[in-house]
Amino acid sequence: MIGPFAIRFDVVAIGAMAGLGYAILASGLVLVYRASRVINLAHGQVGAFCATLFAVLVDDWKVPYAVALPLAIVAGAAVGWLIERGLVRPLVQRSHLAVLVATIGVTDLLLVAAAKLPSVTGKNNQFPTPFNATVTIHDLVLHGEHFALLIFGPVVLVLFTVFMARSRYGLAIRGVADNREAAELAGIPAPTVSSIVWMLAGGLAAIAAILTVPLTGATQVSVSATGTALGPALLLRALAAGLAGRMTKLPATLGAGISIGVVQSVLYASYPSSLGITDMVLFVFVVAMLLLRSRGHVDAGDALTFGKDPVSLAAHIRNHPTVRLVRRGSIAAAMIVVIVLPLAVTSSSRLYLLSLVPIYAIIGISIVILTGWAGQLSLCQMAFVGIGAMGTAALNARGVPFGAAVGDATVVGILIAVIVGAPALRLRGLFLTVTSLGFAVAASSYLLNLKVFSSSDIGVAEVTPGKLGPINLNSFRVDFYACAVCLLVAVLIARRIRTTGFGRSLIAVEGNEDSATAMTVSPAVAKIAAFAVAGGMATFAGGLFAAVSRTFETTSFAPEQSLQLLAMTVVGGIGSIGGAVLGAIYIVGLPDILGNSVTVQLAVSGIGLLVILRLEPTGLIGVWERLRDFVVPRLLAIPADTDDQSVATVQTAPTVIVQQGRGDSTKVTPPEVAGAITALAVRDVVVNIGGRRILSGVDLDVRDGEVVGLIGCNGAGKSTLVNAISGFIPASGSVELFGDRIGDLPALDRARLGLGRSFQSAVLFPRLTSRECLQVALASRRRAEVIPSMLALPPSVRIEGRIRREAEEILELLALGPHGDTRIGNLSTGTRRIVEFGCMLVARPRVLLLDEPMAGIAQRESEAFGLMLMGVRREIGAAMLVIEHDVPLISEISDRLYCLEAGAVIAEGDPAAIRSNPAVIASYLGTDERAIQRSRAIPGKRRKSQVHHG
Amino acid sequence: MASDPDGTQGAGPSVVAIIAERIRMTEGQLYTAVIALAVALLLALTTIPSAHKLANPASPTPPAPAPSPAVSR
Repeated sequence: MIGPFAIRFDVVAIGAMAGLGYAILASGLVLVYRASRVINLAHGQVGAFCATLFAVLVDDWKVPYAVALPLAIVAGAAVGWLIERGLVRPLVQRSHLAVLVATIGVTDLLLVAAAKLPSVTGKNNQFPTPFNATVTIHDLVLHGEHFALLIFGPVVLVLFTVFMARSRYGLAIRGVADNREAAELAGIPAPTVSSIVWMLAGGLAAIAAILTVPLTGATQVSVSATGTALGPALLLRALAAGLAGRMTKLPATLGAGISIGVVQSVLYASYPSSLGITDMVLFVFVVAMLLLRSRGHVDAGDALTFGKDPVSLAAHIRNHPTVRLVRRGSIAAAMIVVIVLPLAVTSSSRLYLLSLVPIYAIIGISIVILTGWAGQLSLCQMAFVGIGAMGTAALNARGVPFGAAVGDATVVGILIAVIVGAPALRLRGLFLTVTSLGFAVAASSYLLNLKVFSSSDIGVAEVTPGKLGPINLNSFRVDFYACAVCLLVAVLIARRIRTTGFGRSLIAVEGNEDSATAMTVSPAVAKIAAFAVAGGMATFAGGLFAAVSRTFETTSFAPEQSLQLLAMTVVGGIGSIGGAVLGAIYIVGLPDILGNSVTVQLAVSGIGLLVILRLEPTGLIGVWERLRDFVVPRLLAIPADTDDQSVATVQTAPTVIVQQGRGDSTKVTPPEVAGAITALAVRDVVVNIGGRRILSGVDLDVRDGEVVGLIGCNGAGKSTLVNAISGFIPASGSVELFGDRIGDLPALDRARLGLGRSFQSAVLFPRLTSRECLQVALASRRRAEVIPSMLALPPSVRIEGRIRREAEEILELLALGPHGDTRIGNLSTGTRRIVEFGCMLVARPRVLLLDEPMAGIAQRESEAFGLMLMGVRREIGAAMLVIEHDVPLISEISDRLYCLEAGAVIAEGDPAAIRSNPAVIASYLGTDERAIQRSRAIPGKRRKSQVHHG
Repeated sequence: MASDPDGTQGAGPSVVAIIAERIRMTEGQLYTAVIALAVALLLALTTIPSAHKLANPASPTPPAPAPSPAVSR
């Protein structure tokens, strides 16, 4: 013993052996993550399936261990190949999140497949081991399973390391992991490499499971039927090891895996009566690692979107009197069904099932808000449900009225959500997935087992709902009505969220964190608020669950249930509130029809999930909408198109802005004389990325009202300079905005101080409409708070009304009216640019940084864009720093030009002087006389030959 | 474009707006604070009377008859 811990030789040795298994499992997980940027949640289950197959081969079919082992490994590789070909390849182009969710479906199907293997049911044999020897060294007793792990474990790891380091396939895998496009250009077939990676990972999962399972004392049945031996708890250990190695470094991952095994063993030996303490420690470990992680770190694979949204009916159809009548009639019919159905059902169990539908729908809505809108994947919603149920049951058992108990539990749930979510949500990427899995496991094995009910009972309690306000919750029928009313309130709150600034900022952050930040939306605050709201809803649903069940049992809230809930919402339609309700009906109703066994439930959720992901990513609600869009226009005999693909042209769109900015009808001229005050002062800015110096001591000034052009070859550092000034990448040196030092502030604070910027890609927020995009920018001036927005309180109603009016004005001003309801992702680059200009117009920055604002638009439209740019400048009076390759155009609109080369300013001055500067000509314009002539061409003629370098 | 920053053009500022301005909050923040306080007060008033039982959960309320649900989650 060392202090309170049982750090003995035998304890550490056994822990190190278990850790070896975790390390093997983690290396497969990391391999897949590096190559595909996906956390394979089925990784442990692939191993469990292969371990079951292995046990069947050895025990039932009497296949020798030495033959069964390679067969099981081949089976693992085959499963990996099937996953890659069947799911990863078709889905990864859509989004990494879709693949990750698909692996949940695979987990379900593998669980069912393992349980259905011949001869498994009823078998309770010890898991097969290769040797029967027993050796005792002091207190350490080693059996066959230990020898297997000690022999095969290091061999596997060494072979794997050599394969990755020395073989040409290993080199190809590392190449694809580092830079897929570059690897493909170098002739490496990335799809084939991806298949090899998934096969390797499948094989590693199989070996890890076969070597690790005997250490847990598991039997064939316990591995195959429940999946607990290799479920989320083991996945968490592998993920924690992977995270310690930053999901990239294999040696660190292996070391962390072994360390986790040792810590776990020591904790087991030290606190044998404290259930789940290891899981709790692991969760804290994961959170600590996230807290240590740099905030500026951008993790690949952060595109957490399913890439497809439910489609609203076109406005002219939506507002058709018949459609409105049918819509109201449908709502009325649904309400009548909700009222009448419980009266027609007499069985208690059926009424109980009916009550579960609104409860699951509320949980589904929480997932829609968090994952469907905010793009954050949580694997712990059932843990919040459990906390709600436990808190309600515990308080209720002590005499606290049911309603107050649910309220108390909900407040606690919201606080826990903030504490759990904040460390992960301040970062980009899939970190919430890992943290939430850790919390789900820790809650299930530790928190929900705390002695909160009485001195003796752990994890079980009776609940007496009594009264909820004036309603006496004494029958299942009343329960259902109470739950239905709660669902109605949840739907109304969710609708408010979606149609107000909070919802728009969530979708903006999900679509493009950088653009959202530039429009003064805080991604971290938005995501944490979404997690808190979702956690609160799930906790509240947990209180209802406890009331309807009349009891609380810890086992009802296993981490696997969180995966089922996510699957349920994806099947229903994760982007819409209606989808959550449909998903709840699907997950509760279908098993009731098909037979309510665990196998059926798993098969329903797994198959449903995979079918939906492959065929209709918008879920059942998407199927309904397709049907609606097909039928309604035909019934009404009106044209269907409107969320149309037609494109506003720059030349026709910004009429008013252009006219305002026009000095004469053909020439673009700077509209004002620059002021004497320095708006933006940049001094000695240095940027290093990946050991390379990108900017070396750049000095730059922009005076109030001045337009300054920034030119230079591709790779000169222009965009890097804009990123450094706006705070999107770390830089040394000084940046001042109207005399205030902002160089140490994060990008969000710089934006809030009036430093606006555009991005070269003009991606904006693909899932928002043009109108909503402008509303996001408008909210930068006055934002409605979350709670007033959710509850439709006066400040929110007033601010939203104002934002709506102003957005309409801007749409009209920019001639974007026909595109107001069109999603940004469906617009052409040129039209997106117009929307982006509109956003700048309403955000009214004091200094505007424009990164190639004409990139991606037709040459004939550039002229109009130049005019529009001047119109925007005249309207908002901002100083501008503009990166542009169109030298004639930038020369005309700028007061001064800077030319960058290799990260340093080589020339600065008025446009005419810069165009004739020998250094600029040598570096950028070229020594070709025709190019120089082109850059001096008059506006009306120069379109024929634009100077465009790089 | 509308120049009224709060959308209150044509009407005098509300009492809430005046209070919010006095305490240097936005109206939304003031509403949020009031709602949070109200909820906290309500929950405290309904929970605290049972506080003596919270510390000593010796006699939980007798359980109601448990149903036999078809789904066990």
